[in-house]
Amino acid sequence: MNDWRVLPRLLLLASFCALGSCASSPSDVASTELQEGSTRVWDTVEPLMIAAAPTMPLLDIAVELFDPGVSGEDRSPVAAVRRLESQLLAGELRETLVRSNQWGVVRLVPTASSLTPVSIRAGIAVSDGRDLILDVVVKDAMGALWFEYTMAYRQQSAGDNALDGIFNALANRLLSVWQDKDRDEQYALLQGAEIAYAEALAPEAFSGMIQRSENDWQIVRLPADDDPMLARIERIRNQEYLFCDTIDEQYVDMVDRVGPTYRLWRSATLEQTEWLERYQRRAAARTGSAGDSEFTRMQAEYAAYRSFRIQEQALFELAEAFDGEARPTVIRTQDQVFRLEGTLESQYDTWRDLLRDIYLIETGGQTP
Amino acid sequence: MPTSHHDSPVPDLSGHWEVDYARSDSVQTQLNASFREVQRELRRRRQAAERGASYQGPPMGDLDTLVAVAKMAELVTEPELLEVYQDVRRVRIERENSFALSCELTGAQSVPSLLGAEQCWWDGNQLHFRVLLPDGVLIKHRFVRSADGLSLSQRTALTAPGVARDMEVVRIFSRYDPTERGYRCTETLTRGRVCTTEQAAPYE
Repeated sequence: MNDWRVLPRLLLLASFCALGSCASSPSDVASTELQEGSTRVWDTVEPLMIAAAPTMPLLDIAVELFDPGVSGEDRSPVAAVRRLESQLLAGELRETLVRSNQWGVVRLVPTASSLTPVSIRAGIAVSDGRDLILDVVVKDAMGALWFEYTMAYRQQSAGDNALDGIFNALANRLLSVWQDKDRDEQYALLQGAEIAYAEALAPEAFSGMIQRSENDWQIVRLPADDDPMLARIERIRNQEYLFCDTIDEQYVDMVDRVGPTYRLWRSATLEQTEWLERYQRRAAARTGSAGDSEFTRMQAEYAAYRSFRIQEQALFELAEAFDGEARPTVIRTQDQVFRLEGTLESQYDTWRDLLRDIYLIETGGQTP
Repeated sequence: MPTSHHDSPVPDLSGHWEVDYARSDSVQTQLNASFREVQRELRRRRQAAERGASYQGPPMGDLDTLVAVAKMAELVTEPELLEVYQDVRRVRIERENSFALSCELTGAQSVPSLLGAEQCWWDGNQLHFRVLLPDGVLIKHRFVRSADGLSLSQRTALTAPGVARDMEVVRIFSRYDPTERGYRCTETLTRGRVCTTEQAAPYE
């Protein structure tokens, strides 16, 4: 038996953790997950339900940038990778929804709003290159909960495209909820979302049209079709769409630059984890002096660790370079050019404030 | 327990460093010293046995593991070139053909993983790194800069379960200017080590 090997290892790993501030690295989480993983039931990728053409009425969906699950002040490389993932994974979900061809426009948004009838919010609970656990919440623009669930995927082999198909189940479930609604409910949702957006912009004019209960809502009054305020609000809404389209361009650029390294890292992490598991099985079955020499064993362990760290550091470097430096966004409206700086969230907030100001000016400066 | 020293200014280690073999240990010399120590230990045990006394000294450790640790020391101290980046917050030691040793200067940190655990801290005089591999091999590096700033000492100690003493290798690095070499090499993710010649300075 190799108890003399295992015990000091466990003790030293524990003491390493106790000595310092034990940064939560993806691989750190992986070791926790290894214990939890034995009891967890992992989801399997299911086929995506793809339509020949979207059915009417078209439902627009917003995918919020995922919650990275780390503090905004955390400048560690691990946190930088998580923040990067929060965008990459949100983009992957958006791509899945678009590919299903079941929906209207699917947009990435930095934070929730009533811009679209339905929005998807997800937080990264675990992401270590092999295991991915996300907490997902789907709500409509009026705040009613559609569903929430935890998705948990374990990548099966290093050759896989790690992210392929992982959002199929979510897309299919969303479709199922949408299709379970009758036509009247579907149209009511679209109308309700428009009123909710108008209500957020001009509560004095639009509040009271929707009656909300704990997890439900009902339209009690509709604005007049020829209400000029609705036309202004529609223009403002289009300007907000413009911002989302600009984010999309940034996202595509980021995926081009970071995507290959990120996928390489996921693949390398999985390979290393599989190697370690095979190695541990071999070590457990080893007897006496049979098998590898001491040096071969040590060398193999060191080589695996070195290779893992090189891959990890390459990703950290890239993630840190991208972290916290969202590019300024330049948005051209009909007669003005706006330059927004800061994080995507703050740029989005600034832009929405600007739109609100524009709306106020157009409506004669009345403070809602 | 390692502690960080916020008051002691951290000397600037940044720059390019190359190993100075004349001032560095040879792993073979260290291994020979270990063998001599093992031989002395065996002699003492034999003499104790001849006298009918029980031997009270420390356990010797097995020779296979001792040789393995020595060869590992050679492997771990292989990088001949270091490139150090440092700011007020962090130091990062990039090592040729190996992973970088990176540490925040404001406290001790640990990064455990399935494949090994890493720990580092600044003790007021030296920068410490420890790497623990799954089977219990522990690699300890200590970096200290000379007072004149021209040398960097890397003291590496390896230990493994079953070995009584550390295998220690000291490597001394001297500053060098990479632009004077006529070529520059960088580690890339997809192509490994890539070297390019320096562009000749245009004539005035």
